[in-house]
Amino acid sequence: MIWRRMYANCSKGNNAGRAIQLVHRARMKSFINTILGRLTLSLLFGLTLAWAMSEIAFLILKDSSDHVPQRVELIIPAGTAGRVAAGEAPPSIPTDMTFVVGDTLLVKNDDSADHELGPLWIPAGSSASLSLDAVQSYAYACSFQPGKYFGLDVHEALTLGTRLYGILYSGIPLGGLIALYSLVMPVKKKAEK
Amino acid sequence: MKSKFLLLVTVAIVAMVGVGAGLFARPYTFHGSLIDPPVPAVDFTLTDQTGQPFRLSEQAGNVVLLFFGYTSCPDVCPATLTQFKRIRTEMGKEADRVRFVLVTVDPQRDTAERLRQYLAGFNSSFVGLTGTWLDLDQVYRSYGVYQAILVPGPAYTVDHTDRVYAIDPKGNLRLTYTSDTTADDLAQDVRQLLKGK
Repeated sequence: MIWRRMYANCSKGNNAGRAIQLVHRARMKSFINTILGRLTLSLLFGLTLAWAMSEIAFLILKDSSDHVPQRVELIIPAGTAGRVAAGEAPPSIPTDMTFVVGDTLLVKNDDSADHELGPLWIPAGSSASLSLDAVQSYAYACSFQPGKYFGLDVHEALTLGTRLYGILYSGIPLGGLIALYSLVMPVKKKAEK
Repeated sequence: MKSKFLLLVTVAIVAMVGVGAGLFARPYTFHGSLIDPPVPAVDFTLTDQTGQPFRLSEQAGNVVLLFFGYTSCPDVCPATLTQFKRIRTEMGKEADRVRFVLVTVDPQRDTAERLRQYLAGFNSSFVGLTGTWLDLDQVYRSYGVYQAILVPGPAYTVDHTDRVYAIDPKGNLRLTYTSDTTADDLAQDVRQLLKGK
């Protein structure tokens, strides 16, 4: 009601009304600036805190098998079929391997016999590749292990993008909560000179 | 004069786009497991569903999709043959240069007649092969195919390798696929093989 009367006075060219309107505008502007300032600071603070927590967690939980997707070579050495028939494991071939999504396993057969690994058929002297594009643990039938099985563990690659997403996903809500908290805190007035 | 200049500019842009596309075009990536270098597919002769001999080496000029299965199979074999049917439909006329071949892993029950009746349910152009145990065992060994009867009895099932082998028009074994490869992906690869890639 009071504001309506004030604006009505302004429209009539009343100087006092115009002054009140200017004061009101200035106060509104100052209030909005304060809110925006707090929001920005809160978001920055939230993101910094999330980044710090993410870095600490990354340093503590860092997995040595993490890498950017790449081509991994597995060589079946000459004489493998003979060793496997005798019940011996070829020393250069592990019994299981860990990969990240996007890796390609290239199996090179240097043996004189054909070999297989799950869906791969690797003729002697040739190679075959397997794209690992899903998070999963495989136990593939395999001809170059005496146990006849080969384990492939595929997990999500931890890239810079993943870490950045983590920081944003935790930093933005954290900043939002801090901003909300700061809004209910009383605005500290600057001491007038 | 102005129109000639515009024509020249257009031709230059088209040429630049063409050269750029050529320079930055990525080579085709096969969906299956690529055998590199390719090896000649081991030749064999078996009997088809009409009782006629089928020799693999006589299929040169065509792509052969080779699968090992059996007519009483409850799951993976009908699913793979359905995929073959889809590929055939998707490729249209091009599919005339593709041989879809099923080699039985159950010669005891899969006679030529039974194979004929079974494959007619998918596509009569599909080839079903059977033979003596000795001949089939040789083929299984050459292609690393495992087969074993599970729970013996009158309605037994056979555990077997479900890989699909792709042989190019030159008779080289080029790719293998898991049974869950989509018909679209297989059809794209087969097209590339037909182009000689």
